[in-house]
Amino acid sequence: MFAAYMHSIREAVNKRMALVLIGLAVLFALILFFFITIRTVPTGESVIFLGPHPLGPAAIAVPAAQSEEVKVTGTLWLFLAIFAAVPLLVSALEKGWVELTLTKGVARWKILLGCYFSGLTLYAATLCVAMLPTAIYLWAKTGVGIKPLLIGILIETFGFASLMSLAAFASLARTGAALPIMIAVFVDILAPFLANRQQTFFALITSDTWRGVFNWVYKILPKPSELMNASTRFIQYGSTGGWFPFWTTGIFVVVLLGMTMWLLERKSL
Amino acid sequence: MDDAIQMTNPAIETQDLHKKYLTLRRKEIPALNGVSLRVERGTIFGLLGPNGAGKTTLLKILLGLCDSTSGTARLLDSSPGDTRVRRRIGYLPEAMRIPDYMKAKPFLRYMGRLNGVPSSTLKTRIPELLEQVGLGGVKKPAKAYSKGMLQRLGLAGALLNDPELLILDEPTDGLDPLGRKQVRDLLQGLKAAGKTIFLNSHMLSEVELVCDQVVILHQGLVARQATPEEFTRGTGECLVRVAQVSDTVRAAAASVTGAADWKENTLRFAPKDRAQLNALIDKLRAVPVEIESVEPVKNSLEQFFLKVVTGEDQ
Repeated sequence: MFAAYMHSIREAVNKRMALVLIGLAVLFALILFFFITIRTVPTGESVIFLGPHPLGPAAIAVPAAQSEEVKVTGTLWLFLAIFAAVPLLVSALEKGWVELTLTKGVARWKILLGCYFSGLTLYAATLCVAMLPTAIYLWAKTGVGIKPLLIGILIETFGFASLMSLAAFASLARTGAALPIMIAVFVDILAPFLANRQQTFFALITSDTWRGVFNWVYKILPKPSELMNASTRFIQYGSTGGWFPFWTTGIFVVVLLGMTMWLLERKSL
Repeated sequence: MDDAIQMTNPAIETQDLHKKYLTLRRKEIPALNGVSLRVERGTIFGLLGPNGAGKTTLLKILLGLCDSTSGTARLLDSSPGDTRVRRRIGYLPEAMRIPDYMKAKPFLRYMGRLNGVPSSTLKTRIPELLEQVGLGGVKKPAKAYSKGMLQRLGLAGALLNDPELLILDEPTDGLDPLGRKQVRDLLQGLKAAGKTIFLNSHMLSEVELVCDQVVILHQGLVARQATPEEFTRGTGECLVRVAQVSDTVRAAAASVTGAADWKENTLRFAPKDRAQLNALIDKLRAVPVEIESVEPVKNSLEQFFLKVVTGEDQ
């Protein structure tokens, strides 16, 4: 599995996908560095400024700024990462390549799982490149630690993992990258609407049966938007505000990945 | 199992192998209709057949890429899906796709690691193999490779784990005559080292030159299995070539052979026995006419193959 993981990382770098993402992450980090400054006000307190606007004392402003960064990465970044990471899964099952790899002395599922984890690594690494330099700088200057941010990044990566598991499942169809990307993007867009279904779908649907269906769809599907909210909440307040999105998404990931691996092992190629 | 017993067991054995593909409308399309074959260890075995005969399906089943509908397949005393046995097999697919950016060494390193070859072995084996297949010193990525170079790289990949059984799908496809000769020599060398080679090829002349056993697959069945010598053995006819043909020469020949089949200065006939052939030569020498050559007429593997697939040999 490690060989497949490393191969997939190299593939991401060689196909420029990882480089584009990391390049954007560096740009994001530079912008943060440029706009975020620390000034000491006459009371002797360290205040964080975003451009000319004061955000508040460091103990409050640093977590607030970081949770805002996570919101950006949890939306725009996640979309970019889907486009960059899903092709890694698809290329692992491409005709002409599977004849070389899946005839070797290693279980098929290990190869796909290696590619899956390389996609997650790519996402987590670019989040770190984008946010950690500023966070470390602020930590050094204000003493506000980076641990909550690191946990926030892990939660975000977990949300991404749920979308990648959907993409992995769809990639078994071996019809190219379009279908897995579309499914992952669709579920990512649908998730906040399902989370707020009382205000969205239920405003249009009055049938109890259909409302029940939507409730179940919400329970079953992964919840990347709620995980992003949990991440920002954790960075700001040190609490995730409930474990429901975590364990339901966890079950979804484990079951879907398990099913994907099981089907792959039995699939006629 | 005892090693000695294992060595006497065939490298590949299939019994009554059936494979049916299902269309989306649940319609069954048969690909294999009961293939039984046996590939002895230490031999080169050729698989022939027209397009759609079921060769690719058979290879896929042997490599564990797809399951058979019924029947059994055994490779090196194990089932095709066994990952441990796959580490003892080398495979060169016909249509392989190597990522454009990949260079030879990283590609081979990855293939080796998937097959559990230790890094220390790969360090020495990869340069050796690249030299052996004529790619030593090639630094460019796969996208700049010719078809022949890709084929050579694939061959190196198949040999990386020093396999007991080598399954090659069109190994000389895209190679120039020199490359084909190198591959033939390589296969003979591997056979001499006790390896078993299962060769799927459309290059009948190649198969004829290297294989110990040949199977012709047709419509999902083994149509013929024999040695190349059996396939190409004499037809019982002779070609007698003389320096000049005249009516006297024709008459002399006809007195021995009866109605004679002349094409320019070559007579084709089927002698009843050696005495009749000698009598013909004596008559012709008595004309007198100079005899340039006498040679038996042999079937080529291609002729035999065409007879089998067109049903002419029935």
